[in-house]
Amino acid sequence: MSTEAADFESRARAFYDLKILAIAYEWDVVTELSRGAMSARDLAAKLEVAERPVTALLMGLGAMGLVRYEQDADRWEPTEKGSRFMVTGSPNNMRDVVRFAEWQFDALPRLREAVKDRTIVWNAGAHYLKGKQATGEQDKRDVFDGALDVSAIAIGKSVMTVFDFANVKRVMDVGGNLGGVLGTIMEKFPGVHGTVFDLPHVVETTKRVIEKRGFSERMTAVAGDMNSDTWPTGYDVILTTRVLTTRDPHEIVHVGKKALEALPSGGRFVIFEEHLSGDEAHPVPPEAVWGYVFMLILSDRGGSYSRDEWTSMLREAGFAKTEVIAKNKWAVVIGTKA
Amino acid sequence: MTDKKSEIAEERKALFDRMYAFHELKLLAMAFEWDLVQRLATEPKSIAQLAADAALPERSVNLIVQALVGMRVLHQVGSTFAPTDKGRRFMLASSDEGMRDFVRVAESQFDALVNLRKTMAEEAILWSGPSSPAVALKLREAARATLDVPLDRNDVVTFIDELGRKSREDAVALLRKAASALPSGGHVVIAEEHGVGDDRRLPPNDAWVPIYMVMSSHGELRTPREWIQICTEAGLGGARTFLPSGPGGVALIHARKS
Repeated sequence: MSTEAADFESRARAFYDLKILAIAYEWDVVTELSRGAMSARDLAAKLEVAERPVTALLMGLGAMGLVRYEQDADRWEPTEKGSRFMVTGSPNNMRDVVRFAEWQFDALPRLREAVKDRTIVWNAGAHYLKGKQATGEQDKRDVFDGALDVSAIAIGKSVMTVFDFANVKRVMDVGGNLGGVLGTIMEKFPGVHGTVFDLPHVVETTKRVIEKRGFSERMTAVAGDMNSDTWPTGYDVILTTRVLTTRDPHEIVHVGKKALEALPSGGRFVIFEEHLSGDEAHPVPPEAVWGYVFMLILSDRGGSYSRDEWTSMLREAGFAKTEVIAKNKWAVVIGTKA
Repeated sequence: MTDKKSEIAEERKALFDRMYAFHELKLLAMAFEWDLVQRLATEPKSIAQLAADAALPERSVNLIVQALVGMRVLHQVGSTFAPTDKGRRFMLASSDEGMRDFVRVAESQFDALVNLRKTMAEEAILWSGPSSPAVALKLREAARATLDVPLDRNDVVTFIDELGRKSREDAVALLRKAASALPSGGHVVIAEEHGVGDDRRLPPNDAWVPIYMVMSSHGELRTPREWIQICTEAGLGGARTFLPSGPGGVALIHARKS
């Protein structure tokens, strides 16, 4: 077999790695080993499961460089990388990321339905998309909210690399969830005051998070439906991140009109989105691949628009000036009101 | 960013990339299912044309095609799409290196893995597939090339791609049967598709192997030491193991009836 064919197969088989990680996190295997190296047999006894699968799990983690086997002592211990990413309490622990990913994994056996019939086979975000309370387990909703919040920091930083908030006084984040993006911006720009505008059941939690993070003096949360309710006014920037790409074009134009109505003259509507459709000069980067499947299972609408499509939608909404700043796998689209 | 911070960020990125690679197998499966790459082989097509050909919603086809571009299986030509060299090699029916069967089998493992906790907690078998004649041939060739034992002689019993999938007890029992059928000095040759050294170290891309072994059988990925113990317990002597120079890969075990 050629090297390229072996690489192709290897990449296609990488799906095992996620499940190995998921079970290792669930059983807190690396944390156990961090308390003292031990044999697979002892670990299995501690976990009250058979030795054979535990040995397999440890070898899988070993291949990923997260644990190592001391042959002479017949015992396993965490590597530095394993301690860094898998031990409970470590600042770099990735348990929530893995749980979020595994939740998607478990929906993918139904991917054909999503492709063929546009069925939403991953209900995680349904309560956001449909504007109603999710009927799913609270535990999973927490995972979803948590994952969004973790990624919000990265989004906030990304937005700030292309949009300068130095002279901005008031920002409203539409669909701002727990205020993660806004908080990241406000930490960097102490002069910015902000509001999260989101669905009522989300805002309940947002208010608690704002208080917990000590942002009460500068951040508020307002409940409302971005499609049907009147938007609060008095903001020189209206921001929305990872909300609109799951909407059809006519919905995006409708939301754009709402933003235009709420903004003062010269105010800017700033949209951050991932999963851009590429073009000949800007092919989709490899690290963005997963996002398109994510869109297929999460939503039955939208999913991926090109730079030209974003521009055209904002123009149709009535923005006098539009700009698209695209980086690898994301873009910031800015519409300025005349 | 300090060196340490940068190292952590790089490691985190690599770990994230690997864990999120699971979508790619499913994308390949969808592409094969609806022949999306094949349909572009003779002439590039737009998303709308491809969707009409495959009788799929345009939105779905757009998302899959964008992802296949990210995987460098397709590339964009104006407003149309065509297979890359990689796409032609691995995704077209006419190619000797076509991966359709591989992807089909891997996808069935993917779907089974949803229940991996059952294997881990209860040792349930989640997936079973037929032995591959190609693998058996490869193992036989490896044994022939590596061991100084003529495999077709009647004092040789071979277990090709067989005992790794048996429980330890069943492997010992089968080897005992072989030993009892052999004349004194007779040979037993065991060849396994996957091997691991006594240090249990596998290459980064082989994390799947030990899990595959336990989810698909009562067997496991055994070390040379474990194979020698099994042979000894079955009454065979002089067991020797042969692993490739690097970690992972084919494992050969040769033992004799004393």
